[in-house]
Amino acid sequence: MNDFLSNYILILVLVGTMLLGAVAGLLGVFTILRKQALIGDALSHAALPGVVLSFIFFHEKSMIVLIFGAAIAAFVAIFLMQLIKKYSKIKNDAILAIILSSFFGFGQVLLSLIRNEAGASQAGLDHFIFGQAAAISTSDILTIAASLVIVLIILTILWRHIKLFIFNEAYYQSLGFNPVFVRMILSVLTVLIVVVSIKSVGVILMSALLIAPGVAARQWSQKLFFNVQLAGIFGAISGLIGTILSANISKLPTGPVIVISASLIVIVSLLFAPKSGYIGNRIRFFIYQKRVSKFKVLIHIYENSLISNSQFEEVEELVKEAYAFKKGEEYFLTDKGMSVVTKLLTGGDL
Amino acid sequence: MIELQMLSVAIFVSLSCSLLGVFLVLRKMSMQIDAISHTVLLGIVVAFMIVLDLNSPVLIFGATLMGVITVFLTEVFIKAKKTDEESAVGVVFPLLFSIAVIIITLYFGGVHLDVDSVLLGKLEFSIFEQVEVFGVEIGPTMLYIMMLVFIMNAIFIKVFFKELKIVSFDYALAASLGFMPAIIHYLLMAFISLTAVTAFNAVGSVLVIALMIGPAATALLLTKELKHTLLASGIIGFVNSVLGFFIAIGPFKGEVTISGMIATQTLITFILVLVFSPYRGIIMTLVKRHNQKLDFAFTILVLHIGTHEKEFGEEHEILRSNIHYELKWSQKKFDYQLQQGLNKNIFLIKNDEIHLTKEGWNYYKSKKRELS
Repeated sequence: MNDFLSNYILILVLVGTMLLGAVAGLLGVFTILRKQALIGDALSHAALPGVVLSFIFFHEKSMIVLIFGAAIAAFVAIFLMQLIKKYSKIKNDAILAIILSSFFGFGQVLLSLIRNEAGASQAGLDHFIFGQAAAISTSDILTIAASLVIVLIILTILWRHIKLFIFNEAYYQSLGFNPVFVRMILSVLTVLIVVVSIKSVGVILMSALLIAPGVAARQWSQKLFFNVQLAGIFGAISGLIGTILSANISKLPTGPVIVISASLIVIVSLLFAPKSGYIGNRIRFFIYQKRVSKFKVLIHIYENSLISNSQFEEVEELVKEAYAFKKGEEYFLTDKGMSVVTKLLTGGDL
Repeated sequence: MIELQMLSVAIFVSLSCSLLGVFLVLRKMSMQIDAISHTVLLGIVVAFMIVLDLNSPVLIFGATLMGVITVFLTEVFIKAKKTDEESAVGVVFPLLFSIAVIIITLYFGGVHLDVDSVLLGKLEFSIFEQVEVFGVEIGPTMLYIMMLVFIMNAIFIKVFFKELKIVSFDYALAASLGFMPAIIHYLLMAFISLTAVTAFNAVGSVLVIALMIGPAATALLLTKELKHTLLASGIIGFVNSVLGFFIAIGPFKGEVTISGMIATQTLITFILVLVFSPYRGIIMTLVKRHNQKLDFAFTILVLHIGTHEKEFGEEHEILRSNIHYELKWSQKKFDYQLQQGLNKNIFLIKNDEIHLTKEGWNYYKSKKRELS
């Protein structure tokens, strides 16, 4: 019976973190492409005063009430950020830093107020800040699943709009569409995901879930559609690995392990992705270098038509590949070698 | 007395942060301090694993080093393809921070090294530890540390002012002139990291972000020259901490966290300056825009009349009752501009038609020259 219960809880946490990873991952692709990767970090910090204020007003700790407060605070933060951006030359990064820290500071002020007033009743709020993946409940999972469905529906309906808006906002506007609408939708979705997930993964680790899967997916594909799918899958895998590891090793906290798995996926992608990965690049560069030195020898033969055997080591390879042939001590170009050299010298494609 | 000690700690933390923050904001690396302030935790943890003493100065060294490593790692990620600065920061710092949290929970469950106290910090606790000379307490240790850091920062900026300036504004030029921008860059990051580490002992990591970026950004709204920006940033940092401090212990009787209040005050000051700044504040901008609009409309009216006045058969274009249809203006807008013109003696009304006076023609010619 005990076994069954702990299995049930494990599956609950597993489903929750995987769903959360998936939805944060696929939405993260858009925030990264808009060069606003850290908006999730800023918004999750900025949500704190909203959470505390809604607790002060409604004296309730239910998920809906707190999410409502968090969302309001996040929207105020977005509004302020856009106001500052519009009326000053302060850059995005500084705006984020100011809003993040001062909203969080204000949240701390409010928190210290109710700590003195309500005593023990605010104890639950701390979890809201630092997150507790292990304490995920059925209603949390339903909320997360609902938000995933909402995100998927909106993405499906507005797919073309969002795609065009992200890659070429000016063109989108010139077609007669209103970019404010799409920008709003994307902001609303980001806020939704942030406020839904901070209870489980915490303010600090939220940004990793939003960013890491997207960054990893970027390395594998150039297509937005695949990027979004991949990021969702990577997010879910991070959730899966994190939960299973922390369930099997005692005292291992779930949230940080999820972040580390997501980061590992990023590192693996950066190294091994076929087109833009570091190792692939090194190999391609190595092959390219070899080719260049081979063709150099080929041109040398073309111009001098006489070299000693030991001068270039590539020459045997050239003979083997039938670019050149040996006659006595001299090397000459074959027809194949000749056509390559003419192409090289006239700048044609190989 | 306790209040005065806390206030002095706050002021010196504020001063040390706000000076260096200017360079962070100028170099568009503000979020880097968010990353550093989190990852120094890993530095502290690793250093603690080596020396096993929470009060060892090695901890500060380890944390500072970790800050610099964070910046380095972020740059490695940026150099990888398709990763912009924000994503790189967003990948690196949660990773390092998570490692720190895991080490803490696995190995130091019992030691007082919990995440809350590092992140949130309390100014109220910063004065507990006092420096004793011959058995007499002469002020909190934190105060002396922060004074030292402030002096070091000030000297650093003074000595490397030229280098910092050129690296902040034109990295490529600095490199081509042989200033070795990378060295200046990492030196700056080391100082920022050191400041963040010592400061967050006193006020918590989130306030460090507010103190670094807030005053600097506010100062940039007001000033255009680096020296002035540094000075303004220092003053604004000072004012913010004093105001925040007194709001916390005044109206709220010390029941709220002082560092949180200072962070809040930082935003309030920023918004106030943004709205009311005499140079580029929102109100001034709106007033300026409004005036420009009126000026432009007046110019249009003068040009319109000037263009059509001498043309035969276009009398309807300058008919007093018709002009606003021609220009697609509202009656009110037209009446206002007409009155302006009559006051300035630029228009004169003849047969219900509007004509330009001699001065009007001069104005017309000068505007036409300006616009062509």
